Amino acid sequence: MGNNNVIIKLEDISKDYDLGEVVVKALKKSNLQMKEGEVALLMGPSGAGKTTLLSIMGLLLRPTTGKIYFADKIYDKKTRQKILTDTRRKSIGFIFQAFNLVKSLTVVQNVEIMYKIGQLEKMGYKEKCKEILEMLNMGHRLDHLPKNLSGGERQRVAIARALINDPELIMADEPTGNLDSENGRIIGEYFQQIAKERGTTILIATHDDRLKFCADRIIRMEDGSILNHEHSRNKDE
Amino acid sequence: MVNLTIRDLFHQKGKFIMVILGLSVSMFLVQYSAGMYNGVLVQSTDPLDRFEFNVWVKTEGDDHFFTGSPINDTTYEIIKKMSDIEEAERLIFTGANFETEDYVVDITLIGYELDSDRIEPWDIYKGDVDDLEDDNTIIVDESILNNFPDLRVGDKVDVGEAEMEIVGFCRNTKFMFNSYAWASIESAQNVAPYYGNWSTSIGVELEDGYDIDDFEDDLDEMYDLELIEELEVFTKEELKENTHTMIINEGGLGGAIYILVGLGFFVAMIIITVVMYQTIQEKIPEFGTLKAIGASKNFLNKILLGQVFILITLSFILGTVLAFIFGALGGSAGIPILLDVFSSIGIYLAYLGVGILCSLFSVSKVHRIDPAIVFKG
Repeated sequence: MGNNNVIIKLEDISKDYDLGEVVVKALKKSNLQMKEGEVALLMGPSGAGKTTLLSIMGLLLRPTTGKIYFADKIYDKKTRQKILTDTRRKSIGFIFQAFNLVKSLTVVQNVEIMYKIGQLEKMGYKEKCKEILEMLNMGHRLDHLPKNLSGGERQRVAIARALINDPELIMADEPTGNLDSENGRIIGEYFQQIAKERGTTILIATHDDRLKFCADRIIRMEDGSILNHEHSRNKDE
Repeated sequence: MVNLTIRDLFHQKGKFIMVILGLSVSMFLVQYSAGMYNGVLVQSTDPLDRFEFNVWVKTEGDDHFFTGSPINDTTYEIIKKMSDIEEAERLIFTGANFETEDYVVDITLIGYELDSDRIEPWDIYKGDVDDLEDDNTIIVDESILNNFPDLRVGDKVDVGEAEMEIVGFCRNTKFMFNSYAWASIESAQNVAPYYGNWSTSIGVELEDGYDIDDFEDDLDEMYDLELIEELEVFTKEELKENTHTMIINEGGLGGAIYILVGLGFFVAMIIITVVMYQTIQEKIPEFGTLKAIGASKNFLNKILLGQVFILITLSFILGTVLAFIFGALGGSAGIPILLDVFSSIGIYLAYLGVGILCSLFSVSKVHRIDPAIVFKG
């Protein structure tokens, strides 16, 4: 890709939804790059295209036009589903507003499932799962079910699940949307820590201004277009 | 290691129990029906299996063991003296009325040569087979006591046109609710004296080198010469098969069993289809998440089909236990239930096949879930 600490690059990406009589341009031709270890907020009003951009960058959606350069591969509208799935599993972590933990699995099992999905039950994986949960202050809740956890605790488990495979990129959609301010702040601090210590690139779609402190950059969107990028003034350097 | 298949299945215990119960009843129904089918057929030709003749002669038109148009003893004597016949014995196997002052039931009367090495009653627990040497004596199966609880050795009963004295009781000589009564061939002939000296079938042992086709040709020749009546020859296996076919088709066993088995499978299909569809509907977000974080189609297939496998297997075990319990109860009430390993394995595999087919719609629905739904717009 030329610049060797650019983790992901979007080139002329657009996304249209053909609804029969109407074609909705959810994302107009956009370009974006993110660097290793960068935390960026994706902000804008509802319908701005944040989720669409997030989904395309997370390889959940194929773009209508354009290319994505990531993990030594190029992805476009013709990329096979299996390749997208494999890359997501190996290189991308996801954090959702509703946490999306598996209700029937305990805290530690919700993290271990990433190994099961990847068929990577190698030696020491259980210890690694516990370590990462302890790092996120969930070591005392390993055998609890999600229904017995607070919102903040569930999100920490979701972060552990997103991190366990050492992804290069994390996509977070309104990660603090269901949390109070204190827990939201804690989650933001974790993002900072993860990006700094692991070099993970994190893109957060959010309406929550309180997360600006953890971001290196704020990307503003409106009507399917990226308007501007601004460096976050609230972040401690 | 996490086993999402099992934990997901047991997460809703109430639903799991209801599904297992439903499927178990379905499997019990099918297993019990199959057991009844096997049991009735095996019991119907039990005498043929025990009587050590591999070739049987019957009147033309009688193609199974239960029918018995009379064969004249003259014919029997001619066959017995044929040069390539090692041994021949006549047998009466016929229905008859068994009557006391109070009650009458249908039985099957078996009249045989008392000096036979190949045909005799089994499981005698009162009296002795030698007691049949007296005229008009019978040894009767204990199941007759269900209708005549006061019967004893020494009692006299009417069997057809003859008055017979009970000289003994035996066990396990019956077909369904029809008791067998054993008598000498001469005593049995008295049941229908208007036939003269008769039997309903002739068991034959052919000499080496003389096969059934040769035997049949020779009988046809003698018939053409009007030496004997028109006869038909069967191997033991042919006669058994014909008897089974008769019971299945004319006896109504086939129709009843097919309905029960069809009902059992239909119930299972409904349960599995509905349960799997409901599971998918409830877990769309969960499956969407799994797809988003990188679960492959194979991984998702294993979860869903694994659940079907566990449900079917556990239900099969419970259904089989129920079938054995009710089979034992049915056996004691006169209904022969024969559960065998091969039938059970076949039923299990059929259920697995049905289960997988019925869950394919749900599996395909999971494959069509768009992983992007995990992000709210």
